[in-house]
Amino acid sequence: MASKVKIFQELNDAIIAYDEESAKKAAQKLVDEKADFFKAIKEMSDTMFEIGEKFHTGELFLPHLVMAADCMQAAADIIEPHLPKDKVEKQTLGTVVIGTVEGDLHDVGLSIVAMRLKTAGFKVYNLGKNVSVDQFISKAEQVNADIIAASALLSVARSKQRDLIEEVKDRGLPFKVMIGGGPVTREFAAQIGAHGFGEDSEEAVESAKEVIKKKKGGIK
Amino acid sequence: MINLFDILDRSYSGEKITDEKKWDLRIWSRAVKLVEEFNIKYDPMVAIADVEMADRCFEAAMMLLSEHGVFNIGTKRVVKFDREEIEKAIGQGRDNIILGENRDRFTLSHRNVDSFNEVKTMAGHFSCTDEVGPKLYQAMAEVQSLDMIEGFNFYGEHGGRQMQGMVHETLGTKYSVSSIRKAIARAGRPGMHILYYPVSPDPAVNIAALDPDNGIRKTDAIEITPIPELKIESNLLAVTIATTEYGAFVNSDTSTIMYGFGGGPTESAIIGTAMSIAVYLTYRVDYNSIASSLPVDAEKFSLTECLWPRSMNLISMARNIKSPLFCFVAPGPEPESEHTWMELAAQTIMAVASAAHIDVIRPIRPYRPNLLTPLQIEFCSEIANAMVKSQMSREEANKIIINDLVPRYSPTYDVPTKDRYRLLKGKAFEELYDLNTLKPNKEHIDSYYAAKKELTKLGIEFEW
Repeated sequence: MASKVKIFQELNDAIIAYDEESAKKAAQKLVDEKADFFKAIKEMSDTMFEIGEKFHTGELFLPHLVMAADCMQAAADIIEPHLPKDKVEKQTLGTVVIGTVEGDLHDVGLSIVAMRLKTAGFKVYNLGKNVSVDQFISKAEQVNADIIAASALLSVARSKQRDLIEEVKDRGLPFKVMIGGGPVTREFAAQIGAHGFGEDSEEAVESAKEVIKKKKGGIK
Repeated sequence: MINLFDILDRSYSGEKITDEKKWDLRIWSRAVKLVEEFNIKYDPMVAIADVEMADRCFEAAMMLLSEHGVFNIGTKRVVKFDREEIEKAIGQGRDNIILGENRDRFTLSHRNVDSFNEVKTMAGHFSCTDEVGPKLYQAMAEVQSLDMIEGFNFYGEHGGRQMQGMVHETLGTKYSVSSIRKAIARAGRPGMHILYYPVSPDPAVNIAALDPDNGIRKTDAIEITPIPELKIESNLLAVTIATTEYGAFVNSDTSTIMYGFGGGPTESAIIGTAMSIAVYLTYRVDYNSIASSLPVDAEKFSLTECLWPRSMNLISMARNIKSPLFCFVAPGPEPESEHTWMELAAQTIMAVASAAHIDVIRPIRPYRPNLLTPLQIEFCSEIANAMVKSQMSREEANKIIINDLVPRYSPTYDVPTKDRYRLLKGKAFEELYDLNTLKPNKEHIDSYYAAKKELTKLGIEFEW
């Protein structure tokens, strides 16, 4: 038992040190020892949440978030095959497909929101920048997403957020659409009928949780 | 010297990095090490960078650029340069360029640190509505201390149509540039230099601005902006080719994203300087605008943690490359919000003390159009001229910023972003000016004089 506690600690330490190889080794040890895998996932999620909070308070920067998330993903890839699929899904708050809209090449804010959603417990598919309405929808259908989150930094690119919402509504698709980005205001989000909006990454996470709560009648 | 075809060749033959994140982490992690190696340290009581540290920052930036090069986001390949190529490119920077036409023509010169050369004023970089935009540009051009205009795309609509996609944006560019040109002519300054920033990655949209009759002339410039951190686009290389062959000038505004992949203030200073150097090779700039270090929470742009790396970027460039530099002056709040004047003052003082000319623009995170006033431009220009005339030292400038200005507005930024706008909300141009006479209202004039009075008490010796 003591050794399993030690391995959990090794796993968390590896994430905090952004050491992907050590995270993989610790995850493999947990598999070999037949440890409580849900506890491992929960511990990693808690560590990621703490790292996310440190980013929010300015103690850590985006690269730290990215590296920690990579470590967690590497460990999760080793652990998850040993978990029942339905139980894995219950560990996540929801699935988000995220990207910057077509015609806009800015993705720093996007990366931050994607990382914060991940650290908060969402399964995130980041499509990057310059993503067309069709690409958003196609990926959301493929991964059975709950939310499509679309970012825009250029004021002219905001029209694509409107197009996305209209397309989802016109086709009667089950996805909720969240928007954000430099020139995007709460008023604009309401005007075009977005289901969620984030002034910053913190609010985006809260908004995503609210959207899921409304969609599913409670967070899973 | 490396030419644009060499850059294109390398864009198709350099190291392939499929996941852009790997490039970002590579640059950031090398910058972290360079901070240690070159002993770059941030002190929260310092807004104006130390010159010796700035020289070390420049050397660190040269090392970063010569080791790693830049990343072409289209081909997903690394474009590398050797040190000799970089040195040759920056060695060919011109310290004086003549901009504008006829009686509006002037010489834009490189400013030396501590030499108190004249400061030129540029302003613009705002989105505007069809109705107000032409009037705002005219009112700006009527400010005699404004030397050049930075034109921007209009708000996203023209002729009642929402602009979207290449065709609308191309039409929008032609419409916006010709509107600006007519506006400056109405102000009696038809030859005034226009720097145009089409805000589109599409080459057609950029190139559409080049038009000797109604658009960008050979005495004007196109703004070609690299993507943070150290990234280029083939599309914009095409714009560089078209613009330089046409004979117009090229400008870049370079910015790092602080607390993003640009790291903290120290890493951001090095990466920002490397980006400022790189545009002499990639986009062939004639003059450079520095907008780093833009924090993830952009409204904090006037805090010391953002002023210092920007100053470091400027001083390191000014001491090592002979080329005119502008610095963005972009407050967090809208015009007539409580602390707008003081943020404008802090950024102007930092810029002038760091060897830059000033580019007075809209709030760093604009929530609506038409958020710049001619009186704000005059205010910044007057501060710059007062500093030059009184030969204000960097130490004096630092003291005013750190002791008197930053403490006034910094508490605003302790408020969470989602609750902050009510503190930053002010008034747009049309709420502060009579759109027929283009004169400011009493409220705006009174607050302008009150702000000048405050600054006079702090040691700024205004001419009038």
